[in-house]
Amino acid sequence: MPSDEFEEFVAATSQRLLGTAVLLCGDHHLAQDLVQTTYTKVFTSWRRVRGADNPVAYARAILLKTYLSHQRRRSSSESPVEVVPDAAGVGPDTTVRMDLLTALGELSQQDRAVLVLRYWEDLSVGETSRALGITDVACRSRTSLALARLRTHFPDLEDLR
Amino acid sequence: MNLHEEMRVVVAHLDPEPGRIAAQARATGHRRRRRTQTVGVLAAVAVLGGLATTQVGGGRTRAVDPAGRTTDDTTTQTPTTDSAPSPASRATGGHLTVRALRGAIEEVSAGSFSDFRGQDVGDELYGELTFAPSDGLGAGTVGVNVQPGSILDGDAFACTEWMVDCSVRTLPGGERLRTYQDVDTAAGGQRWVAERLTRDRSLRVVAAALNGFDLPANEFDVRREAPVLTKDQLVAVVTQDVWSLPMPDGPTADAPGYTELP
Repeated sequence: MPSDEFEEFVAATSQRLLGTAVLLCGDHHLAQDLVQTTYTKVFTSWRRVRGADNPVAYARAILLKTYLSHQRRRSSSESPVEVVPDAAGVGPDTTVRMDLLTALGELSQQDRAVLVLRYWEDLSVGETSRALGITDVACRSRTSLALARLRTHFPDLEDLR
Repeated sequence: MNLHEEMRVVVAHLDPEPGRIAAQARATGHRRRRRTQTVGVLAAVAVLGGLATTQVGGGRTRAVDPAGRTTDDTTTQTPTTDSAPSPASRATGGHLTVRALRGAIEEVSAGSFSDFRGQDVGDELYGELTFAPSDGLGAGTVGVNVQPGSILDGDAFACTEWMVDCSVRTLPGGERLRTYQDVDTAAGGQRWVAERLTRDRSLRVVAAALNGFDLPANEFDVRREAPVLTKDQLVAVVTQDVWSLPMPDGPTADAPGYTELP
């Protein structure tokens, strides 16, 4: 394998994948572990990933499967994870950042994944459904329910379609 | 508040350190390849030695997939009952769910059924089918989710502004019912929803009926003017005594050609 091809892929995709992981995990360190595990799997399947129609989507699918399978092995009583801001990661509005992650943390893993894919990754209902292995109807049901729960924290959440 | 923008704020200052990630992925990935190649060799030796082993391919072990999917692909107009399944072909949770859905619909409406699909993700079950009522006006999807009531923790189980024609009521036994039209549907699509929450909040059953079919890329295939089941019929579906977690085995309607969703 060309020694820099994989490195170039990581450089081009890691920012976005880490963002997805943070929104899913609600914790920076867990997200870093998830991203590392994902890229290790990408590396061991590099021939397949590189040859895929959409290598980025392939990597995202690996990240999602890893996240969902890990969460299933955890206790069923999920609780929101307190965000410990990184010294280098403190941004302009830390209150909003912590509140949104806390609110996302109150959702089930699948509901979190649906919202992250639809409103962070900007995937359609069909693309989200296929990424999570659920039907479009189930995806819409989860989206509606998850948004309703977010609105209990953010009543001014825009009317989303 | 725009959700995408708020998410962007949350992740704006992350530094993934791609060089470190790539280097560690390579190192760990190489070690795993050496380990799986060793496992492959050992498994091959075991086969030669006449010992039972799992299937081996490409240097990686692979678990044998258990059987469990029906192969009957005929669509029937009248309900039939399955013979008792053998242990080797026990129906999955998704299969049982969609069979129960068909049986529940048959209690409230006449028509034909096809395209049986379902999903079992452990503590949640999903089933859907295509239903064409005998009014001849067109077919649409009916789906049902069977979930633990804890999924609604924090939800007031009330009507919100995005639920059209919404009503919430409490049944004599203390169960809660919520019905509404979901406006988050692609152009032309109509989706009626009935939702039941048991008194002890242990079980949530939510069923939806459409006036056609969801398509990829937010498109909708409109087949009729109104959803294939009315709100009252959906309420009758979710309040039947057939739903539980896990779904029980037993005589239920047939679901020929059932497909397990990934």
